[in-house]
Amino acid sequence: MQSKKLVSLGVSLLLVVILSLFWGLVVSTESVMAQTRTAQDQQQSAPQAANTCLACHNNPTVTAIFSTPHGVGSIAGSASNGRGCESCHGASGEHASTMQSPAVVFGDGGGRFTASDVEIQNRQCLSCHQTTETVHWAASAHQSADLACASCHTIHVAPQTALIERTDSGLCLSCHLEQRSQLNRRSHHPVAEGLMSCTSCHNPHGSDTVALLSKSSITDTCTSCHTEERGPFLWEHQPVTEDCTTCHNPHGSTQASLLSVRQPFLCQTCHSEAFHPSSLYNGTGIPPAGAQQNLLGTSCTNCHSVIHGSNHPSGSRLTR
Amino acid sequence: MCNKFCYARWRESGLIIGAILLIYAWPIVAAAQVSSVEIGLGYNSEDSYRSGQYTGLTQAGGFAVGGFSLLNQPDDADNRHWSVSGKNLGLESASLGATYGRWGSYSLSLDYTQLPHYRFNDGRTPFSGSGSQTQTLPSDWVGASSTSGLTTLTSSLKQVNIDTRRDRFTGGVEWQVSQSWRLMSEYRHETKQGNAPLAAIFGSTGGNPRGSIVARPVDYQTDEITVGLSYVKQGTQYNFSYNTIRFSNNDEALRFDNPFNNTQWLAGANFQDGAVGQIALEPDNSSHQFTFSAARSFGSSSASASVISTKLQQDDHFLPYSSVFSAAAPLPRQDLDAEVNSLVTNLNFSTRLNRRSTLRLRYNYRERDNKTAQDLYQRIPGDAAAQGGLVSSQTRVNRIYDLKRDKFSADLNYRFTGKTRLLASYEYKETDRSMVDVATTEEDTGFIRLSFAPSTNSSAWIKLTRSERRASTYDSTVPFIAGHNPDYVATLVGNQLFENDPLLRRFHLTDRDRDQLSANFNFFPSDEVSLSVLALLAEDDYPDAKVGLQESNKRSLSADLSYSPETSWQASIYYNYENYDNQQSGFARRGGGNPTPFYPESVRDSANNWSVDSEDDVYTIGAGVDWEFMAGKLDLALDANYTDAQTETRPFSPGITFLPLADVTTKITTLSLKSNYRLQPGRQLSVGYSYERYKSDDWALDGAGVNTLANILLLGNASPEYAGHIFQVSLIFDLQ
Repeated sequence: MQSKKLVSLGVSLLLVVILSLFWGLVVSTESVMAQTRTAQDQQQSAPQAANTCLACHNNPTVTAIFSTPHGVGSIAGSASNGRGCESCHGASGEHASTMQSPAVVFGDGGGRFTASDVEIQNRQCLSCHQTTETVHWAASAHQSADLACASCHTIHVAPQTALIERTDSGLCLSCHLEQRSQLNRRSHHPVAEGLMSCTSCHNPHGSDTVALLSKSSITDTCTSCHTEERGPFLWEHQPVTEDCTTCHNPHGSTQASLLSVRQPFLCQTCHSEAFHPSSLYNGTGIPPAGAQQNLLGTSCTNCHSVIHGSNHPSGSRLTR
Repeated sequence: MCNKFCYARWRESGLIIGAILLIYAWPIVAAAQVSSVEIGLGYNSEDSYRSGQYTGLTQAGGFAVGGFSLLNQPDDADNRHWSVSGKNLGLESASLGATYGRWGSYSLSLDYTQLPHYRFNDGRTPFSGSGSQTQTLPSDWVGASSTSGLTTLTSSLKQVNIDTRRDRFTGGVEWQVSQSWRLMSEYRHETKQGNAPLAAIFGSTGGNPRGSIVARPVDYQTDEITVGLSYVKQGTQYNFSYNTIRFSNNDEALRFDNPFNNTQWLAGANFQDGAVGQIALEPDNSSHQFTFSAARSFGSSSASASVISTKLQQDDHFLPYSSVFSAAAPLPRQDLDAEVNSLVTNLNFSTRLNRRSTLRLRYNYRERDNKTAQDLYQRIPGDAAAQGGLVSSQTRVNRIYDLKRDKFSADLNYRFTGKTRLLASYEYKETDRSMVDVATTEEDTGFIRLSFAPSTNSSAWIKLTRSERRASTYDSTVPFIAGHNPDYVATLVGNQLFENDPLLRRFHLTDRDRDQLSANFNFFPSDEVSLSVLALLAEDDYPDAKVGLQESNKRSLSADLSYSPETSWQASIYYNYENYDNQQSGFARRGGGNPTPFYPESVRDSANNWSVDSEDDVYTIGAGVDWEFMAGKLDLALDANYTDAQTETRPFSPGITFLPLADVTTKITTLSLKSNYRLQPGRQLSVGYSYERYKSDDWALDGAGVNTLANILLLGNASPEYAGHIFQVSLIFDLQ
């Protein structure tokens, strides 16, 4: 325990050192940035690169972009850098002169123009947004479903106040109707309450893992928060080491503890040892007819309570 | 012990760091361009742990409402951005966040969040010290061999509340070192404190355990650090990252007095007085993970690869076999010194074959290599039991579960004319496992999905999936042999080498035929109205299982209707129905001798066969309205949900006496109404009302008192039932 205190103290000090170093980094970087800001930054003040467009589109729903990274001159490809609005909307000379559609029309076209093909829209976004988050976009579930980046993201919008609730889960649930229902059930993760979001577990831009999970496996995803269940235990419960969804439904369940099926019947799908594991549990074990310890309370986990694994040398039956 | 002390120290450290940052950053804060502060009061009408499970509003009474948001909207000359915000400040689910940086250069983020989880507060226990490592009975406690004889139980009962709270601090740094190089780092410190139910089992008689459900302590700490470096240039991307997670449990074990008195335990000894049982709590663990990934786009093709290598370790000291007496046989080792290595490799290639078709090929390899040493453990079933001999069923070997999985898939996407698309996919998966009933499973999965537009104002898709999983020989002796002393195994004959019924087929290992049909239809009769319908039929069949899960079926139907005539108001209603049906069968074995000999199916008494059909029906209906009145002066948001869930369990046996089980039902109604009224420029009045009604019937909880069971003392909590109202009034000041 003494070593744990020292480790905790060490981590505290490390945190303070990291923050101090970062603050130093912020100050020094500020200084360097001030001295070395590129000539391009200096030359392209915010709306200049977009002046032609703003002659007609000078309204708040458009100019809000200049309060976002998409309107910052120092960022290549932004509306204030180089090609201005054409960075995203493509060559639009015809649009300016004859009011024809710009080369790239995002979203639904706003009722005036026909939206560009989803692939063309997304290509514009992905030409800049090459990050670890988007590396698996190609042929991902959402890409295959013809989702445009603009289906979920709004670009011409100023930062909002934090008093507005997070909306990313609501956005996902507007299409994922089953999950919307499951998150309202007796047992659920606190997504509807705003303490988690869909992106706590999923990467909507694509993933190498099933169900667009951000981590490298289902088990890694669950145990990144439920770290106490990682073990490795002396006595492992085999399904726990492989896939948490063998027993749990992570979005919500009508059973306790996100279980997909009620105990003891869930346990009996894999355990039929002699005596109590193979018994037929039924109404004779419920008051007033009876009181069966494998039905009442927490059922099988009335005894086998360290169900995810035990590190007790006598704990092979996951009771200790 | 690093419990509340550590928590307080972290909070103090956070406040000090926050104060230092505030001093440094104050000139910037003063220049905030968008800032809002919310101050108000609320009232909760209901005492209920369930209603406040994630907010902390578990007691009737008033509470404070608070929040704030400060952020700047930089112009192009100075793209420094920052924000500071606080949410739910009057509640236990409060959060604070801050960001600072220059777009395109660097960013810093700090976040602090509290996540409460209140489970129930109507538990009762005779133990003192709930939530601590040591739980004791009253000095005048009178033991007995079953709960009916515990004469001092009723007078000893005390209320016990079950709840936990997470406190999570995260910090992140991102630095765009150059146009191509980016460095990032994240840190997470999280504590989880409170208690949770745990069975404290002391001993057993003839297979019947004696124990109590107690409130064990929860005092966890998790620290996570991630450092990543990425390089991106002209369609090429390389990423390298290192992640480490260290989990610490400040409680090594739970020690508890034995409430029972049974002379069968250990040759007549009476363990009522001074006998203390002991359970191991989760051991500390640590992991180190290295990830390397690369991606490249060339023309109309792209390829990516990633390798993720993880090492997970644990070396907590073992507890003794028994806390009551010194075991005759010593432990084979003092700690497990466990190590599990895992490796994940992914390869992806996608290309446009021609103007209409794209192809994606994927390969995934996953390996779990458990390096932990195997030993013989002469287990003692309960602290009061005698230790078995070395060559006996009581001596167990820790099983090492390894896994290797190869997965290959190919997706072909073909675009017909218009919006018609066909996606065809095939996947092959082979999994090798150790020390389980099946060494290898192979699974072929194929699906086709046709997307089309039935009309100019609608879209639809239909998807058909077929999957077949086939297992190599199902050998139920493998886990038994792997888990017992080889010298003991050598004394047994073939039909004794089983734990489970050899006719059982564990559903995640055995043959499975899966069929799924799903369809979606979206209809937009006008710009204002949209309708979306999703339906699913899924059937899993386990053709080789005579005992175990036979079938698992799911049906669901969802619909969402939205109406948004203008930006100032929109409404939606949704409906969902889901049905889960699981059919399983069993054979009641009373056996004789230990281990119980297996009798072939041909000589079994079919009267002991049984089946259980479990069916869940869940209906959910919800509605939402967002409305802006009076030229934007008043806005209104309404959200309502109703969930009706019913679990029906139908047991049957030709020879075993049985009675039906009552349905388990849960009905949850929620209503939330929130309105903001702009009193004057920069001032808003916010009024909120929410209602929640929860009604449930559950035979596992209702009517199961502390001493209803003969051998186990329960906590006696009932299924929740309440109806509560929450009112909130607050003022929002916009300070820009």
